[in-house]
Amino acid sequence: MRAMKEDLSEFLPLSPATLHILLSLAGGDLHGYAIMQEVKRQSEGQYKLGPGTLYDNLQKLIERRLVQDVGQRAGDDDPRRRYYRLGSLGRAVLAAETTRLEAVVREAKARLHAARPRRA
Amino acid sequence: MLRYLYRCLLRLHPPYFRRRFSEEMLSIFDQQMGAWAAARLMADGVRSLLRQWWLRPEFWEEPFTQPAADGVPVFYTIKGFKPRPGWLVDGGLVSAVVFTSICLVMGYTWNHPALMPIMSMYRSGSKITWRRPTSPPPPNVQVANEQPMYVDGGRVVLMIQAPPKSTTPVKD
Repeated sequence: MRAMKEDLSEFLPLSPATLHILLSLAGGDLHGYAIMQEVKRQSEGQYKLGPGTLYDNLQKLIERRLVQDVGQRAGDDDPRRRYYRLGSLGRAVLAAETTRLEAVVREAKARLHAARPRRA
Repeated sequence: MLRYLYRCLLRLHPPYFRRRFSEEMLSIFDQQMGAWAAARLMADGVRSLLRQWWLRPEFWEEPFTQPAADGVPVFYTIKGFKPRPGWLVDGGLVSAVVFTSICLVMGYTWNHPALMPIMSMYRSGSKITWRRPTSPPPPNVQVANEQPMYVDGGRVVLMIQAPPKSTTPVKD
């Protein structure tokens, strides 16, 4: 278990684009355009992922075996679309990043709470 | 027109990236509505082009992957690895500096005649003085009789001149 954590630490911290892509794929297989739409929805329109950034990140994630390319699907509107799936390693990395971010948020809240001026 | 330009932009990407993702990127472009969105994708395409050529040399060609077999170790190969241009520039610079240093050390050691006046001046802190030897040279040294000899700090430098060309024709 400890060796697994050490292995995962080499992936952390994730860049915002990588985090959003992994988070989008955590809900199921998606094609590129759907990932872009999902990222936009997750961030409430604040983070817009372009195709260049998306496929650059997907390329790296596939190479590092965090994401799998599951190919085209019959019956899709556009036959050019390919679907991507979050692998087990990708899911573990996403979980580790979520835990890390939780610790960061907890620490930030504690510090902000401590620094809050007291009422007279 | 913008679609044609975007397609050209995708064709300029590295081969592996182009084969794998260009059709999907074009598919996304086709789904965008409006000139503003298309222009934004064009800008994204230019950024992607620069990024892929400058920052992702490892993905210019398809990475070589060895299928894993049970009990057989899988070795990482650098067959498809291409170093970044920045690394090549750094390597070239270091090689040039090392090569120049070695050449200087080999060609201009401290005992080299070319550096002797400089070293003498450095050691004595005085101006270089050249003088002819006052005592007559030994009779068995033929070169010293014919050529000027300079002495500096106990070291003797022989200035050997090339012999004059013979004007008499050579007989067969």
